[in-house]
Amino acid sequence: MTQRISCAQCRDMLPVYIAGRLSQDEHLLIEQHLIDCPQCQRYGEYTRTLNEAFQEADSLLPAKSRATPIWNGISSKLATPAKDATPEKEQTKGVLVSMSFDELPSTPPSNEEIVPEPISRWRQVGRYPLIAIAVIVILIVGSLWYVGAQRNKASNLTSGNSSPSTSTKGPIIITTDHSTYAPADAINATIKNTLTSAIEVPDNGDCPPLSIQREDNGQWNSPQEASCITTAIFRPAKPLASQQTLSVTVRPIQITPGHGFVFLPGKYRLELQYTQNNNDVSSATVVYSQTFNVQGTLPNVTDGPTNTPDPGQQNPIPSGTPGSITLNGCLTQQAPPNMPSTDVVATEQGVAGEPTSTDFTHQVNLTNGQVLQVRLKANVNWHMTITDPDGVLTLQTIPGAYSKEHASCIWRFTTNKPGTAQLTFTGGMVCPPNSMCPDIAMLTRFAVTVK
Amino acid sequence: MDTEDRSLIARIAQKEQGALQCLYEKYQSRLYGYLWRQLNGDRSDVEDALQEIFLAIWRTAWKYRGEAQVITWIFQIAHFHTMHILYKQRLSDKIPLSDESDEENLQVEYLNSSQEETILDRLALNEALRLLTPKHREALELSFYHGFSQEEVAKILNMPIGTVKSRISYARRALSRAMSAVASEEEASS
Repeated sequence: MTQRISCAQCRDMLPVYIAGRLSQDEHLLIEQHLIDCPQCQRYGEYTRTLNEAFQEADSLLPAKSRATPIWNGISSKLATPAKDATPEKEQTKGVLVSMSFDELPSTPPSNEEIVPEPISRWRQVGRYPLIAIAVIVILIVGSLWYVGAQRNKASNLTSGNSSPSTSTKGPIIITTDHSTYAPADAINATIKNTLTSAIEVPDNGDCPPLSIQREDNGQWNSPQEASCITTAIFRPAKPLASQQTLSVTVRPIQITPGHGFVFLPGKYRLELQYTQNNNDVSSATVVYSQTFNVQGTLPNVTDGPTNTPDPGQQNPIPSGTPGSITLNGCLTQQAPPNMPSTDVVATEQGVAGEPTSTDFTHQVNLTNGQVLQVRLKANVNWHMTITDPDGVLTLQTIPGAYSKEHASCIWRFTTNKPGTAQLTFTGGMVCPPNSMCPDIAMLTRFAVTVK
Repeated sequence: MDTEDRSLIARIAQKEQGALQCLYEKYQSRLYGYLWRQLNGDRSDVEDALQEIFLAIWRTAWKYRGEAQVITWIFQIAHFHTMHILYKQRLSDKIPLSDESDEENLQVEYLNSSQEETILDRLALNEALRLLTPKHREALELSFYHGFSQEEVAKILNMPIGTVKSRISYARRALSRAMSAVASEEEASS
């Protein structure tokens, strides 16, 4: 069967096609589409003309004639030991922000943090005569932030076995509910934007903007391990407004053989990456992070057999860690009890015919008395949060059952009365032990309206 | 191509200067043009930025995670550097066309695709490209010239893909408007 692409897909890919960066298969897909689509052919001409205009502009630049002197400049700096920072050196002299905006207030460098991205200007700061003033200003502002954060910390003390931990690093305050956790604990954190302007939290697809890294031999980002070993679902659809506080729960998603989903004991950091907009041209990625510790003994878990019976079979019910690979990421293998037939099925793609907003929220419209089935693909350790102040929905047992037929985890809800509720499902990929596991955060929301 | 680039990055991570020079020779021309346009043709800034970008690659090659193509990663670094320099220069006040609020509250005459395509005239196009704001020109350039997918542009600019799509869409409309303006000026002067 011949695969086809839509005009929108074709137009998205046309610049990549013209630049010759598509795979052979993708290239063929575009060519096949162009044969049949005069509109996209015209768009292709437009794309090519723009491309050539840039090429023409480039051809007028003096780049080639100056290439050698520029390289000589680079080469001479490589030879200077002070500039030749090894990873270890970066670790010890790192700073907090990924870009050194020395004109931005309250981004003081920290001796404890690590450079997540290249810092070049920061290293040149000593060259400039005004830097002494800048440093003093930064220190003063940093001190003010520190005092503010300490107050925040004091006000957030809980009755837990350890104190909450609060970032004191700048305008974004990250507070964890404790500073020390047990391996299987979830970490509850709040993120407050204390700036007078909104911040945009980018979603770059690699790591979510809020990620966790574990210290490994003095390095946070060991080349041998994934950059974000666990995932927090924190993808606000809108910029984080001034003074706005968001709560987020962070759970481990990588399975540790014999122990289920745990954080291995050690030192971690919770890192937030965001874009600070200053009339756009000065927008920058800034990283704030907060460290915490995981201590204690790993729980012992014995996973059951790897066979996965259909929910229709009542027995046997494999044992296993909820959310583990044994259970295909689902909470249980047990089939839900007899239920009235499902009226509406909602999946990651939403409900057929219903709109989906840009913030991963699918609309689900029900009539009172109908049964809703949420069917989300397996091999994700889904975690459900339900917001239903009016008691519109009733979750039927057994939630999160695995359906072999659909290769999905299934939740069923009956409707009680008219009203609205929101179901939020978050999770990370579940992979076999000792396998490379993509660090993918999943988020699906359903805005349910019962009439 | 990316396999070759990844090999170079691995060698740079081992502090092999020759590998950095290979990477430099391969991409300096593309980066130079990008920096030239983003930094408003300030040669000193462009050359300084180009040096800083390759020094950053030298220092941080060991951190390259392989999640994006090498060229995407390099442009990400380049973008950060231009942002930093532009911030310091506060060029926004000097840019004649549109700003973020324009993008959010778009009240322009929408051109359909056929109109857009027919008004493409090379001279007017080059002039119009110069009239775009750096952020719009950058989005267009990364996509239409360097051939990055919208997902890759989002990665480079560190923003949601939806924002990239709207930015490119707006940039195309702004380009059309600018070309119309250029054409009108040319008519008036002839």
